[in-house]
Amino acid sequence: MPSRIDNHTLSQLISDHPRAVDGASLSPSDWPLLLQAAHQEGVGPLLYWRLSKSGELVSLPTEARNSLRGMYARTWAQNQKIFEELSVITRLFHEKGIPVVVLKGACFALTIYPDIGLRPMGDLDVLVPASKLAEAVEIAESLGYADTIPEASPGLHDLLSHHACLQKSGSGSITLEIHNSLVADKTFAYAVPVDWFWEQTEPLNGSSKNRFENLLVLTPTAQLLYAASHAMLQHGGDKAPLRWYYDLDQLIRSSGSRLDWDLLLEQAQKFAWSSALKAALAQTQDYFGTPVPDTVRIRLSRQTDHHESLVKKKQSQPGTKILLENQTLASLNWHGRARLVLALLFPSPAYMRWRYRLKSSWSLPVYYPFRWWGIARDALATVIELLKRQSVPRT
Amino acid sequence: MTINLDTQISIPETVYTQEVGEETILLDTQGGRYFSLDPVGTRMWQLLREHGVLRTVYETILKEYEVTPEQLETDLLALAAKMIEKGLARIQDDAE
Repeated sequence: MPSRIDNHTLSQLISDHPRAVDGASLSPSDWPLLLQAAHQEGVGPLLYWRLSKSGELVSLPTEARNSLRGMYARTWAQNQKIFEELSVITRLFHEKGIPVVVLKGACFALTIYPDIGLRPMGDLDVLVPASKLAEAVEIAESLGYADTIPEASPGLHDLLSHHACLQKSGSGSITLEIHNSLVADKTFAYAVPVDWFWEQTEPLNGSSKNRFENLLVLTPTAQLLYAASHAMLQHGGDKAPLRWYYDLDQLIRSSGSRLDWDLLLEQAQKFAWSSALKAALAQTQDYFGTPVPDTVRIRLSRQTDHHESLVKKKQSQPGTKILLENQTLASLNWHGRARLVLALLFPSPAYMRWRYRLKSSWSLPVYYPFRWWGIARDALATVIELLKRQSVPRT
Repeated sequence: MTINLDTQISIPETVYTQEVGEETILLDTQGGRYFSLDPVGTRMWQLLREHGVLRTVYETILKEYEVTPEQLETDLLALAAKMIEKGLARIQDDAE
């Protein structure tokens, strides 16, 4: 029986190779914690599928069985809805001559998972050429998508974000992110030109091909570099859910010789993303024993870049909001930093109304000081956190 | 409406079937409902979808499984009633 439920326990349970932990080795009291963790890490449907395939599902407590089945069914239904949207979007974009690449969860669900109900996704991410972004947004708006989150400061979104984030309301609302660059926009220190990724696109193949005519995907090599850097640079290792590492594991296992390791390392070096790739592969291997060739690991261990400390810093969960924002600030150029700090301190009234769910503007003069009071308290907590860190002897 | 072995059943287009290991999940994308079936229930569902008439399902299952006619009739009608209640199947009118 595992001493505590963590990502390693979960990774063992969802792996398709010989496992040290199986459903039978868990006690009934382990299941509530395990289900909660599986839900948070986005691997509940996969856990259901794996236990069902191995015949272990019947031996689970009824509540656990029902809960896992529910996670799978909800994911399947939501993904079905997302793919119906993707089918419409791809067709309309194609009619207007806009090439579209499906990214992240939706792409993985279509290409490396055996069933569309296994990969939960928060939103639908697509990439379009920067020159076509405005037109793509217009088409999405004609389908009922709208920009629902007000900007904290006018122009901030264009400066910091590399995608348009739109939402379609209704039951099981869908968030559509239309990207024009990958991982980060130019305000971020680790931003890269998107041209190489466009060169590394190919038509979607396999059983979903007929459903999504004209839909593009990244080649496995570009997919791996993008997914690794997205996890490690944009979000940070500790904030990356287990399903992202499972994506990487399955991508590597399913791509076989289509994965060009030489090109991957070469491009990672050019983009200064080697440290992100190294960290993502190391964590994936740790969880799933992913078959990364020794020669690749040795070569990658010798590659270094100026984002190494940022990747390391982002691997730990910051204790306060200020430390979290500091991670973002550290990734930005000076102009971006100044704009972000100003927006955090003096956000627009529209943002304040959205953030604090204010029905009218008369209470705004109260909520600005309320916000600053919160920031001051967080600043005090940050100082205490930093002092504590200093007092801990370094080993 | 009461159902019997001569009742005709149809499956809405919004209901999908996913076989996952040892069980089958029925999903209604319209209402967001789902239902799981064991291997015998899965076979009943397959036949129901294929033929739409409960009596055909009954006769086929009777040949395929070791079960008493009374028990099978009770189980089949209970399954059909539950499917209808959950919106995963509906009674087909003669006029349709």
